Amino acid sequence: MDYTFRFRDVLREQDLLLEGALVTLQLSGVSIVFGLLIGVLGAAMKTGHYAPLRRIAGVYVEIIRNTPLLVQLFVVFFGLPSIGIKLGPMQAAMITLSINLGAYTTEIIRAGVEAIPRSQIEAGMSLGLSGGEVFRYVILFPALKKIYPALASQFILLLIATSIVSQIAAEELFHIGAYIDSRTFRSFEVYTVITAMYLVMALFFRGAFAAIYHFVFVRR
Amino acid sequence: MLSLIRLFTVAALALGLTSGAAQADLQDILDAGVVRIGVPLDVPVYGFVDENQEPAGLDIDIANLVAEQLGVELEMQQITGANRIPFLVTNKVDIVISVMGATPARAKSIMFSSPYSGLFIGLFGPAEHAVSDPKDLGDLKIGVPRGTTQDLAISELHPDGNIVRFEDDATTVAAYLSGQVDVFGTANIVAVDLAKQNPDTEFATVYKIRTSPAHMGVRHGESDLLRWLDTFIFFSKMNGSLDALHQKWMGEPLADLPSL
Repeated sequence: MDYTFRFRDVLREQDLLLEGALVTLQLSGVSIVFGLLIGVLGAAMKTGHYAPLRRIAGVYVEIIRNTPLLVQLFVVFFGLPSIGIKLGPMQAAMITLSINLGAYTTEIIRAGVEAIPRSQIEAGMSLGLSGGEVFRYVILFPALKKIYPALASQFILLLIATSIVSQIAAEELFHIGAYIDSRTFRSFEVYTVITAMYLVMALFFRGAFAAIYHFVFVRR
Repeated sequence: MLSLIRLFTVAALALGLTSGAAQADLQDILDAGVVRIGVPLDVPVYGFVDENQEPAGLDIDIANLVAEQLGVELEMQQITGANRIPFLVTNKVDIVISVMGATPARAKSIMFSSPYSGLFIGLFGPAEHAVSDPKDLGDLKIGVPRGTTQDLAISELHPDGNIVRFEDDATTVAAYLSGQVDVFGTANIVAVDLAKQNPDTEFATVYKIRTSPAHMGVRHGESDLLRWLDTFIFFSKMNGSLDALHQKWMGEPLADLPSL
């Protein structure tokens, strides 16, 4: 227990670390936007009237939620080039994370939509709203408010899961950390710093989501 | 009493305390008509088990050549990287031919012959990319396992290069095979083995980073045997048989080796 911490070797690389953190935020941001869009679409399909669409969305959710993210990532990055689709590490990471997150948000939003009482939808229809308007104002918006906490924690899980894409050499925060570790051999210090950076980013996300909730759902 | 002494002898042998015990120098091997050589079976290209479940590889061929030139019978013993020096010092084998690198630490336990082969780490890929300076690779994507000798060397030689760092050897190779990188760094024996498994992909040497010669090992004090092995290696280099063996297993002639 007489380990001497030497953070200097690690902090000397602060530019690299900040770059890595930015890449992590960029990956998370893009994936959250697309994951949410996929989730809304998937939930609409799953709760809709068309059986084939319901089945397609169901198969998508089951395949993605029952296989490891790392395997999905390798299929996209190492597998797809065999059929002529070559994606760089960042593109492959964003696509895989969006598709992965989309499956989880589909289920979360579906749960919210199904929690809307039948009578509320009938009330919307009797007011003369169109099918699209009913879905948007009477179903989706109240549903999103109900499941917002679950959605927000899914997004934080995604932020944390981005570290996996270091496996395909996408240069996000964990990759930068492992790179510095391989040069300085200061593993304890490197990963302590990385932990603190992930924690700060996750708390920042949490704060941002709370603010969004306040402005979108409370102040109306 | 006698069995007690035998017990102690066995214990001493097992512990590797035989420095003063029976030596099997050159004359003893010639008298016995048998040479015991330790070879690897877990280092593809140098020593492995072939499709007929027989030992095969460069080290196995060289062991056979040694026995042939000595005019004695060969008794092959499988050894691993961890036990090759213990097997030698406890007199279980007379010679170790097992892609062994010479280091001062190892030389405290055994003696090394002149190098008979050379491993090298380098960049591999399509022959058209071959360069004499990594800087000439320009923007080509260079895949390396993070933190390895090839990563550190290329990062220093081509700092502005498009170096893609993967977690380990397997993902680096997967990246090359799937076309995600243009060239990749590994050891030549790995590249030779990969080329056999993937005949449609090119694994030409693009750039040699560093060579690490392979030596044979004998016990301390067996200078006659060591001298004979050095002569054997010198002779085999001159008459081309070492070149022929390297051509057979590595697909290229023996590289220039420093002498010991």
